[in-house]
Parts: sequence; C-alpha cells; structure tokens
Amino acid sequence: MVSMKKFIINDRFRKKELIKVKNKISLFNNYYKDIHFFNIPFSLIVGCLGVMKKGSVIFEMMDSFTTSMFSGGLLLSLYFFNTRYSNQYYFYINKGLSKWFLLLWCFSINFIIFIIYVVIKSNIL
Amino acid sequence: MKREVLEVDSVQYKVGDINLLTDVYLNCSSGEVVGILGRNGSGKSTLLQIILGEKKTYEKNIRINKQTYEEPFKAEKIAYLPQNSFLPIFLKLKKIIKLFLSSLEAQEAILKEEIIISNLDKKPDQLSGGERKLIEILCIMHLDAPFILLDEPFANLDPLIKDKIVSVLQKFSKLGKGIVIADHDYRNIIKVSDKIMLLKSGYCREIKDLKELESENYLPFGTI
Repeated sequence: MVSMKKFIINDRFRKKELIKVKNKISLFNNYYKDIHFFNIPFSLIVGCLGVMKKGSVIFEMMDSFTTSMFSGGLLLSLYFFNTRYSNQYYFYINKGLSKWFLLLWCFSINFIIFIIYVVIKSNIL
Repeated sequence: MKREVLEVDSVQYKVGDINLLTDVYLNCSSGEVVGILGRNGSGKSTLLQIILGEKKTYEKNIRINKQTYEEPFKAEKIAYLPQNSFLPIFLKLKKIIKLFLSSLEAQEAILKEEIIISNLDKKPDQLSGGERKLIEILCIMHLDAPFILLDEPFANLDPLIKDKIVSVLQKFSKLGKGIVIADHDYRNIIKVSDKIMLLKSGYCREIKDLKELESENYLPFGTI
C-alpha cells in the first residue's frame, strides 16, 4: 500500500516535471521565433548577395545564408531585440530561463544547422 | 501552503566608485508584504534585481528556507515584475497565459479574473497601461514562485487600478505569497505592507513609526 502511494506521488511529480520541461521548450521556441523574425529575412538577403560570388549559385547562396544565420544575422537580431524589447527577457527569467541560456541555445541550434549543411555539402561535392 | 522564509543578507553593490548598497539585510515570510521605500537612485530596483539573481554583484547572500541560492529565479523560487511591461507584444493574451502558466490549475484560476476574460484576444499593446499592469501582476501572482518582487507596481496608474492592485496583493498575501514591493506611492505601500523598510545611503532599515519617514528626510514634514 505504501509503495503504491509512493508510486502515485512519484508519478505525479514526474508528470509535473514533464509539463515544466515541455513548457520551457515552448518558451524557448517563442523566443527563437521572435529572434528569427529579423534573422531569417536578413540572412536571405545575405544569401542572395552570396550569389555574386563565383561558383554554384545554390551552394554560394546556402553558404552565405547559413553562415549569416549563426553569425552576423543572429548578432544583429539579438542587438535589435536587446535595444527594443529587453524587458521581455523578464518573461523568460520568471520561468527560470536566463538570458545567456536563451542566447547560447539560439547560437547552438543555428550552428548545428550550419554544420549539418557543411556535412551534406561535402558529401554531395 | 508551506511557510517559507526569504532572507536577503550582506548585499553590497557598487556603481563605479560609489557604494550604492552597503550591507543590506531584509527578510520576508510567506503571507507577508514588505514595502521598500527610498528616494530616486537609492537602489531599490537594483536590490530587487540582485535578489532575483539577474543582476550580479560581488557580495550577497540570498537564502530561502536557509538554503542559499546564487540565482533564485533559476529554481523558480522568486518572480519579478519589472517597471516596464514584460509581456511579449506579438502574442495574444490567451497564448501568453498558456506559455507563462504551465500548470492547468493556474491557467484555470487566472481565467476566472474578469479583466483576463475580457481581453483574451488582445495583444499587450492593445491594452491600456493600467490594464496591462494589472494583468502582469495577476500573471506573476499565479506563478508557483513563493516570493514575488514588484518594482513600482503603482507607477503612472489611476486610483481605481491602484485599488484593484492593492486588493490583488492582499488576496495573494493571504493565500501565502511573500511579497516585496518597491515604490514611491507611500500611501498604498503603507496600506498594503506588513513591514516597511527605508533604503537610504546604501542601508535598509525597518520603519517602526511612520513619523520616521519625515525625520529620515523621505517625506516632507507634516505629511504623516
């Protein structure tokens, strides 16, 4: 009987923790979308400018686009978000997500996308 | 609700060579409202951000139930209402509530509030300053965090909204939330607080008699 009670309590605790983790993923997703509201159009422009380089049009465009997504485009987006909506960081801080956590995850995801692209490209060429 | 105690000890903070906070101590228990008064630039907001764990300083000790936390917000033990709106402006209120309040109980509880129901399909920039502040306070209060820090919740609001905020604070303190408020609206701070602290020259000390606010040069003589 006691072990059954313990199991129920542990199960409830696990479910609560799972909801919290899901919630944090949704929060990060929202921040990521806000940041990329500027980053994606900006990086697309950079990608289009990359076409001017000699070589395959698609690869040159993708090179510039993916590089901008984790470097210049991301930095500019973060700068604009910091200057215009810096108070919105408290929305995430109140849910236990620090500013550095959000910034690092944004960078990491975009960098992983870049690495995947480089691997795919090197396999094709 | 379990009785919890927040203790803020040895807080020091420098701006350049100036000591803004020198050895600040304050405590707050569940169900208690602590009001912090102090002149402009005395370090009220800085103190709240240090307690939250968002602002770094070289010396501080934040304890909740005798356990020390370097960044209490990461453990979701403390929530903070900043002076300016913190709600994402691209989202509708119903989406904000879903994101901000993870538990279904909290979502159901906040959806009983009239001001929330009538504005569910609006974005924060479609609300008046007073409505937005009241909604922000309700959202913060419905979080699981046992301690809430409010930075100037009464600033630039009409008297009716201020009264509503006072009743929200009284309701949630009765439900067991520990609340620390920093504001210049001394009348409402006096009305809602169980304990009043005055932050002056880097120190925080408890005000036992309201006349002290005059003798400490915070209020003009004859105000109280």
